[in-house]
Amino acid sequence: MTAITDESARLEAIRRYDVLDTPPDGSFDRITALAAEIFDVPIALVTIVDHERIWFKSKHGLDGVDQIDRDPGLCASAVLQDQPYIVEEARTDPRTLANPLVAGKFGLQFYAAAPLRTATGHRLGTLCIIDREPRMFSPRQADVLQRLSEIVVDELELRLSALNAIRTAGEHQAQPPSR
Amino acid sequence: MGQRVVDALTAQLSPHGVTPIEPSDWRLVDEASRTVFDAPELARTVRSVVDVFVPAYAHAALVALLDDRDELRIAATAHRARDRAGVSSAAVGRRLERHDAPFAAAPGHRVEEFPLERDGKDFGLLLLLVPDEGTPRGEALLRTIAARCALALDNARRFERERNVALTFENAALVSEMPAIAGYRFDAMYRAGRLDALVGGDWYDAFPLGDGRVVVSIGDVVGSGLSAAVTMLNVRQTIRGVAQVNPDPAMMLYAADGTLRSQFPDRFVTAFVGVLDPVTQICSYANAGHPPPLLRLADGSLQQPAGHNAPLGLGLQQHIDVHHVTLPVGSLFVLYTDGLTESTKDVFEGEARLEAAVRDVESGAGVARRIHDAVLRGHSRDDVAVLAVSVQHTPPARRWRFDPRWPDVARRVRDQLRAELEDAQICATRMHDAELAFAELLGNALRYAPGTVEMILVRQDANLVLHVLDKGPGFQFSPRLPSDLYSEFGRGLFLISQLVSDFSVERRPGGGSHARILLT
Repeated sequence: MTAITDESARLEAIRRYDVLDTPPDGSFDRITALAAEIFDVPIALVTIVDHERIWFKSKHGLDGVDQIDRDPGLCASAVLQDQPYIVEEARTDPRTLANPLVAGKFGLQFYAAAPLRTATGHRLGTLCIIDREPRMFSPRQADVLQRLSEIVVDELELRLSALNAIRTAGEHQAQPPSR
Repeated sequence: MGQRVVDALTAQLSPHGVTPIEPSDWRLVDEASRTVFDAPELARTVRSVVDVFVPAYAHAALVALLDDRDELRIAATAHRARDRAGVSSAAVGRRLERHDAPFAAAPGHRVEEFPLERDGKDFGLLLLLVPDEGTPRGEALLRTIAARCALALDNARRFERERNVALTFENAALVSEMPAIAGYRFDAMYRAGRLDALVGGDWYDAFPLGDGRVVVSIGDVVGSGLSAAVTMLNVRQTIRGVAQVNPDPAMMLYAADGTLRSQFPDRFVTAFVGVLDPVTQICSYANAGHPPPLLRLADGSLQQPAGHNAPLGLGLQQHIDVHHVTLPVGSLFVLYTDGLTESTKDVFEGEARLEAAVRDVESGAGVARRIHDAVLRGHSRDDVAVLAVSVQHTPPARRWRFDPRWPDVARRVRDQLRAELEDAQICATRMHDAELAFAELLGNALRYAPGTVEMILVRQDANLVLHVLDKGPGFQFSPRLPSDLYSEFGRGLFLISQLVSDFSVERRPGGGSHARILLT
């Protein structure tokens, strides 16, 4: 299946998965914790790239922040491609050096993300890992990150199936749809 | 028989066997003595000697002294204004010819020669040009005054030699050269409290190690004078020596304490020793009763790195603690001795002035002197040493941060390291050794400290130093010390130390190990 680049279709897909602003979920948290462990990084996130914001479905190693603005360079850029998006030295990388998380107090210096690509080809967000110091990242590591992101997508698909099942059941009972 | 005793006595009183001088002339001898013994310095004494004789007793005079090569060199000359006889003062410093022509050739004169001797050893010659008819006062007086002059000259010579010894010692004791480390500026000032001395019991020191670290020390031997300076030099050299084997601040202070205990049991010393690594910007330090240094950060705030032990030399079996402080870019680290804060006689006032001075001082060349001047404002009778370290930027280095558990990233690092080493024009053998050492260290990190490793290659002048920092349990290794068998076990550290010029591992303050390999 070819990747769908149309932004409104992508946002529509996010609505369909109905994941935004949902409470923390242990299955996603297990994946981010595992990613942090595997790659020995302090921060791992499952993010959803919404219209004007980037919302965190799971955040390992990051407290007090649930979402950030959709500034280019990090997750907002990572959802534009199917392959993992790697920034080894964010402060000198032209793609990221102006991003507020890089230039600002947060001091992000390493970023690697694998897009959360659905079966229909929509990239909803990322599984990303973050470090405050530069770091080298290899193709094999990127491949493992990609496979972890596929597990995240599997979880999202499972949730969607469950949602659809509930919706279908609701229709059978002739109740108005929830949305 | 009786006459012989008299002769003998006479000979003793007047070693040249001449009749003793008239009692009325003793006044003249006293006067001459006062003149020639007036100043301790040799230059002034030789001047006085020739002036004593000319014009009162001789038409011209010349003093020549034996130099290091046993040659007589003219030290001073004088002649009567109306005489052309004698040797002009322009001759001072040159070798005395046995019959110096201008001296010998004066008609109507003869030359009286008086060997200058002490304890039977000649050290020079006094030549007087007297008229043929003799001096108005007689030979005996001349000889007596000449003997006094010999004594004065010998004293002056000894004084000069002692002062030269002291000067040589003091020059050796003063640290003239500060380390040249990219991004760092070391600036120091020292002033001895006593006016006639160049060094006292205070010291500062800063010198680089082969692996790029810099050892700084500052201290104060309690007491004053040359003997305090001798103790100081011994303590400072002890610290220097230990730093070459095991640059651990506590070890250096233990050794200094041992030096005091065994050689200077009545002295005690306060000292601060720091080992700073420009690569990590961490300064590991130990402080034995010394005033804590001041650290001014880039935002202008002041910190006082805490923690100290008792002074050295008290005979305490104390455990000396090592602390760590980070010297970030833009900071100014100021070490000083208490002469800076205590000579105001009000320690609190002194410390307040110091803090203000460090807060306000402009860093750059001469910063130590400016701090000194701002605090003391001209008056001090104590020794003072100030050592200031300005951190301008981190030294240029190639850094790799990676997880060696992933073979492809480790290979990439190895290839890039090889390229860097080739760029540094390292020879093939060294390259091979460096790669082996790299592999050993990575292997160790994999086995004992799995996770992220930071590797840093620093080129300082002709030196190439490879740093490997891991996050494992941390251990210490120095190839020059008996190894800790447990930590050494299976780590191939001995192999590495055989391959490279210098290799050591220390525990990092936050956990983990820091290995340094000197590749060149």
